[in-house]
Amino acid sequence: MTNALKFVDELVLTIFEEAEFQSTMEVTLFPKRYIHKILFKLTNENKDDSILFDSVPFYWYNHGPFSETVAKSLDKLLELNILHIHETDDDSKFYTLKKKVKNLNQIEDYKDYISSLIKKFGVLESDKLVMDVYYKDKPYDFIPAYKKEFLEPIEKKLKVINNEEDFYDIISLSNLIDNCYNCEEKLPFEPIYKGFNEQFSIFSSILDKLYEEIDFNRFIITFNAIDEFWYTFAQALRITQHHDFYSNKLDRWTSFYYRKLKESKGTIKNLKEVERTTRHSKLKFTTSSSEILLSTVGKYISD
Amino acid sequence: MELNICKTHFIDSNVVIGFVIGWDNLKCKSAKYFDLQDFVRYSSERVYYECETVLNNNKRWILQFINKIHKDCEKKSSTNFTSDLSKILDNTVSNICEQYKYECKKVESSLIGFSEKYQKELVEIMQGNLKYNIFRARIVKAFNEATDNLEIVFDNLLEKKVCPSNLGSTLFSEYQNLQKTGLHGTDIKILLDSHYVSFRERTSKIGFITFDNGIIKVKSKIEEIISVRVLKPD
Repeated sequence: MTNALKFVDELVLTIFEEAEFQSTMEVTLFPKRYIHKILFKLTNENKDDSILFDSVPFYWYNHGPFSETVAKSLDKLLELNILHIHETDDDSKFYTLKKKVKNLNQIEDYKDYISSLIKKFGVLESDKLVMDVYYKDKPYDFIPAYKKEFLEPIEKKLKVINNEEDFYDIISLSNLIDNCYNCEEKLPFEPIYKGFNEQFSIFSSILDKLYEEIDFNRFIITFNAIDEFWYTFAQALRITQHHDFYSNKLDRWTSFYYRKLKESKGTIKNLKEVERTTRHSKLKFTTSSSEILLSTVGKYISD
Repeated sequence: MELNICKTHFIDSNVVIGFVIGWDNLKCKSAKYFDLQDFVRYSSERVYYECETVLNNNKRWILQFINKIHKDCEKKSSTNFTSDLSKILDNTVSNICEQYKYECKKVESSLIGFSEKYQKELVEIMQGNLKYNIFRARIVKAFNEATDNLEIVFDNLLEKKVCPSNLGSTLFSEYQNLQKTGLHGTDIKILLDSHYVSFRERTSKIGFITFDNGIIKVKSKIEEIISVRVLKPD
């Protein structure tokens, strides 16, 4: 590894220096996601600048836009002892600037832009930055709907649930299923998502039935499935939303996505076993439902 | 009755779907067929999955359609709701057909059928007179009833056989010959399932019960290739 700082290293360091300059704190802790998201904003809002756009290539993935180039740069700056990493009790990692580097002369043109981004999204407000990226820069409406309005709120609530009683007080199952349908109606239309969409629609029906009545233990099983479905989606997401720089990874990503999709089928099968205990035994045809089904599926099968 | 030619039957997905949604023409025929005694009825995991997928795909398409309507009415005030509705419909069909280009006509039929039947409600959503999530809940309820019915049919009226997923390569020559009849992927796979079940159950011929005109049209060719009799309920 060469010790010479590259363009991207200088961009990363500029974020640290600018944020420290603007901060009143003695020590500024930088979450990894903050660095990625500020640089994503910088490149995404300056797409016409090909030098910048191609030097910091991103793809959308599990935690939003991610750049392997930035990740490597952070590792390099750690090795060079310019950055330091701190781990907290809950395994979160934060970077601090250990020593300043003089003469960052490759990034002069971008310094003001980075500074304005940091003014808008301070390092202590990295959540605000993440939300902004998810809602304003998302390639699909499905992304904030699933991650920010469905998956993460459940995750947060589960952290404070200690017993069955808490569960019924804190979790509103009808809201959850509404949120799940909010996601379903926003699924992407590109061909690669076909298999995912089909499984998701089956999944939402199963959740709906399960959430008519469910205890905490079985709810946890459904939450794990909700989490797993996001991860499967993320595998397809990076295939459709990436900088050309990652094109050589597409074959590997595609085969990984289809492997995950196959696993999701198994997850659905397992959920159905959970569901079986609440199954009805008589065929049901209500008039209003029959009318809806006849006007849609009826036309579909008669074509 | 022709159905009596075989006492062992394999049920195709369209017969099951027609039955679980209570479809006008199919319903009475499907229901009448399922009322008949003295038949052993089989189907397969693949048929079950096909039915489940068709029902849930239709649900998703409708949800995507009404979501577009909802989003559109949030954006602007309209002077011609019917014309706007028609544009949203065309746009939704074209979006969905990116994933279903070989089934585009069926997607279109489903969405047009829905849009015509519920035009009043859809325009009310656009005008802000009907709450979108209340209407969505009605749709979801209907599809949930249908998938509940599907489970009941497979639990009580059919024996769901697990057939090998790679039948197309195990029965390669049958697969190739069925392809030559002009049938498409899922139809061929389901026909091979019925052939496999016939073999496993040691029946000389299994009755393949279907309403699918594409299959019925090439009935004699299919019967030469695999050990089934293609039968349509009266």
